[in-house]
Amino acid sequence: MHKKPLYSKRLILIFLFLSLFLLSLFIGVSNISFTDLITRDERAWHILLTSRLPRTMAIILSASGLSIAGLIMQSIGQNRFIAPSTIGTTDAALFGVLITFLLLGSASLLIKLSFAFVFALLSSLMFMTLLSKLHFKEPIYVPLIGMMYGSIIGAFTTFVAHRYDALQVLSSIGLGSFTNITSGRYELLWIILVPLLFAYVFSSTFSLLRLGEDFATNLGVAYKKVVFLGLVIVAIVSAASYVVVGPLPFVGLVIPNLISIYYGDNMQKSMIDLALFGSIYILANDILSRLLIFPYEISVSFMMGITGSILFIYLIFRRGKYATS
Amino acid sequence: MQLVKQHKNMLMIGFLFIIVVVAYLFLWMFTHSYDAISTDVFVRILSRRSIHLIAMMVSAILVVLSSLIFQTMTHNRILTPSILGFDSIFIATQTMIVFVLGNTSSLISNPFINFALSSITMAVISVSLYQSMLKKFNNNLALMLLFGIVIATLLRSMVSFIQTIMNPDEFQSVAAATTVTITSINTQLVIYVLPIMLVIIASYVYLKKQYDVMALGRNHAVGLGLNYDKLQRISLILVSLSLAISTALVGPLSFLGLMAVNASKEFTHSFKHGLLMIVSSMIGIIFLIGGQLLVEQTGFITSVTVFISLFGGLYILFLILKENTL
Repeated sequence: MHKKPLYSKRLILIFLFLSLFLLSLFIGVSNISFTDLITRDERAWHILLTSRLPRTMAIILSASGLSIAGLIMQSIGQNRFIAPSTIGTTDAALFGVLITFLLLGSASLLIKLSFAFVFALLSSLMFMTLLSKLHFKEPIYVPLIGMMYGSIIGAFTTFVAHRYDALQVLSSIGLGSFTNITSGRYELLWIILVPLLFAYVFSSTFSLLRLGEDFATNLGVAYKKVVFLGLVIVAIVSAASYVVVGPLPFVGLVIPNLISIYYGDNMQKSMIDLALFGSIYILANDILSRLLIFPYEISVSFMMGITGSILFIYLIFRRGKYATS
Repeated sequence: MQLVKQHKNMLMIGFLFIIVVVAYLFLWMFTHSYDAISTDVFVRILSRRSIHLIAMMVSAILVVLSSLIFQTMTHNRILTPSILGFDSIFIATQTMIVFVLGNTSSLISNPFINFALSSITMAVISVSLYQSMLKKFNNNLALMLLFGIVIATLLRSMVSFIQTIMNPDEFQSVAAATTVTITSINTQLVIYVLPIMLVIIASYVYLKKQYDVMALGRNHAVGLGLNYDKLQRISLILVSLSLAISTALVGPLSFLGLMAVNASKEFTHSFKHGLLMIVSSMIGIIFLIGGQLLVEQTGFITSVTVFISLFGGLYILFLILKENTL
């Protein structure tokens, strides 16, 4: 019955995605036009392949990864306001990067990624254990505790950084931006495809987690193992996008919520829409941040902080009791 | 039994309070080996330290009391006003003043005028924002809270955006106005602002009985004849003024209030605001000055703000885990 509107919505999403994808390829300081590409202009192809395409791919990969990671985390925590950025996972990833810097100096991206991954995983495991030990009267307190938890990790990071004169390192990785993404600097992001594949295979199991431990176990879910797998997926995705791009606020929080308003919580059905919608959101923000003070650029994380807050306020006004479901 | 324990706790807190204050004033004489110190230098150091001491004490009291009142208003133990974005409103006001009027304006260079302007703007913004939100959300605090968190993020993003397109001189003056620490207290400002701070503290104390009624919840309080909305409005103004003043003086101290108020409720097992105000202020002062002393004695390994958010945060998590429910 409802299939038809769903598919037409998806068609709109695909259309939007493709047009933003093309826009993102052709917008930038150095001008390349479609005719240049057809006439095999060498300079135009060079720019396209070393800068524009990597940048756009980086956006798509991190956007789909973070949106799906957000949904998985929300299923595990059974709360709509959980995301890697609201429960300290990104703070832990930052701590991991700092530790890499202190132990090894300037390390390769892969080593940074592994440290960030280990700390992000440990931190989210700890938070989920904490969460399972508490009873909350209102779901809203979960992200509050999460942010408190995150700021403790943040304070500890500042403490360590201050102790070893590495504060500047912190502020330099604290800004999310796609500006420096060129070929050779983003390939690590393809690693996100592995956890996404796992997420797709186990998507129906993740949806069951929303019913709570007892119910899910009754339905035949190996609860602990699935939760662990989910947290590993989330940690890889957030560590990879954090190390390569930097913090991207609100994606993991807002996109899954918006999608579930229109498509419901069936993860298997909505995964493609999540990836599409997340990519559309970051692509639009990135294009805006390139255009607003052209030929200069604004950091995309500022842009997303602003648009994300506005979207989030819309969500809050739209559904008062929404968080409880 | 309970009463005896309570008195013991109170005595201990009072004792610690005196130790910390005396230590802050005189400990430097023993840890720094001065061969011969002239009375002139002695008096100068002592008077400087006393002004710092007063500034820290009064700021700690303001932060703690505003947290206490805020928690009463929201009927919740783990909230601080800074979660609603009051800190970011302060930074946003400072940035906007510099951005719109330039850094040569007397509104920035004269600390007193700047201070007056930013606290008034902050009070107006926060009252108009949250008063209307409270109405709109029908006093649903959960929603208001989320709204506050989002507003804080929004403001922070806007501030960073404006700061990136500012010229470096203007950026410097914003940075100077917003990143205050305890070691860089503006002593002149302390003297000017002290009377205002005392008035605010006095108003909190004056309203203490009304807060006892407010703590019963809106329906009971209105039934008992309390003008709930008016008290809420006044409290919002008081809270935002307190935060503006303390942030301008010693920088953001959000965890201090949370920690001190929770600790005082834990120690006294009381719900009387009169008692809670005294005990929580003393605990706040002990933590702030004690932390500062520790930082000084260990050769400034970190700032006291980091110290407080680290230990304050851990303490709150411990309390929440202990009670096991929220």
